[in-house]
Amino acid sequence: MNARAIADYVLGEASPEERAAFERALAQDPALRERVHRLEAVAGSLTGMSTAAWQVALGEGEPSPVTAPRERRSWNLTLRGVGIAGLAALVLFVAGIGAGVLISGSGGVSARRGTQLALRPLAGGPTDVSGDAYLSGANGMVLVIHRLPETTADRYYEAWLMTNIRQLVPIAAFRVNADGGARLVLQLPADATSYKYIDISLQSVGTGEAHSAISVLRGPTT
Amino acid sequence: MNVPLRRSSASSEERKLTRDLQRQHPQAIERVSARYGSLLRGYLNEVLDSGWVEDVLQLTLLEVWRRGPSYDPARASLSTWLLMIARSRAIDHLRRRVPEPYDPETMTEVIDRASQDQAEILVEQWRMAALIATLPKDEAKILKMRFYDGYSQSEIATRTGIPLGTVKMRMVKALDRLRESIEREDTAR
Repeated sequence: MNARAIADYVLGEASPEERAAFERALAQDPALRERVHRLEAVAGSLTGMSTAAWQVALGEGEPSPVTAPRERRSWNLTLRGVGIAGLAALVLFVAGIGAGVLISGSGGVSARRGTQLALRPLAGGPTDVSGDAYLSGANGMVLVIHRLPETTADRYYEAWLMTNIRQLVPIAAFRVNADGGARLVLQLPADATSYKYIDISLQSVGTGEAHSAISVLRGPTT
Repeated sequence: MNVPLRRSSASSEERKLTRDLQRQHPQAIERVSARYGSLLRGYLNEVLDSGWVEDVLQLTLLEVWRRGPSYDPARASLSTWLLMIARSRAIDHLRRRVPEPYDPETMTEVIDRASQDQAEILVEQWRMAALIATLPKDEAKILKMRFYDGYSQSEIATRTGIPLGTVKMRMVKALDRLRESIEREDTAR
């Protein structure tokens, strides 16, 4: 199997046909399977890295000054989402890709082992938005989203596990600032693979807790 | 004054620093601080409230000095070993601190435990940062564009002018190098 195919598969950029062909190859090649599994784990760790960690990694000077307060917020919409979902653990909220703040519940979220899932924009929404979800043991998920339109005071985004519009559960509510990035470390209320999709919707404050039917990003859970 | 990590793996400078740590050379800690201070401070800054970072960093360096003679480079790179010590000191600090007044009060316990979990998770990410610092710069930049900026491989090729096939080759090579470094350390533990 060549490097290009491995890169496409591990990064979730293979077409459905390429993916199917690659998985047939995986089924017949234990060494390749093991290599890919480990590469996915590395990719999962890279996704969670903060701005400061990347600065150090690339030798781009000092990380954020020690005196700068971290942007740590847990706000009512997130906690509301937790309550609705009946989550046993606290869900993280981070606005801004550089904030890099993690809160995880019991059992934590392994940053070393995971399955990467690519989220894609939906028709009619912003086209350059992208995201990746990393599933790890004990219902952990790291969700990283790029280039979402900035939220206004009366709007927020909600992440869902969804099979259809009647079978879904909210997993986190969040806002993004002008850079459009968000990184969330979540302890899910259920096995993600028991739903078909991870869905990100744009919601309006004060219009109820149901899915708005305005999805901007979606990807399969397997 | 901290300096960024150098882009080389187990350089001669690192080997010399290791020897000096093992012998508790008087200048060793100063050089650890100069070479790895940004790594340790960056990690602690994400785990602790900012007012405690320098205190815990000093405790970390103190323990590095004390444990220097027992450091075995065959078991972990110097950066990983330093991060493990920083993690331990950070968790000690989190366990000792007075809980902040969260409301409702019952949330406090959850958040305190979460902070300790956070220290564990973040140490792996900063360990990864130290490993990326040893990669060739072109590979490290591609990783950042993919995993931090969120560009697809096609977008990276367009933005950098590097052929798509080369982007994919470098991507896999970089991920493989990181994988091998992690496995080497994990096997030695």
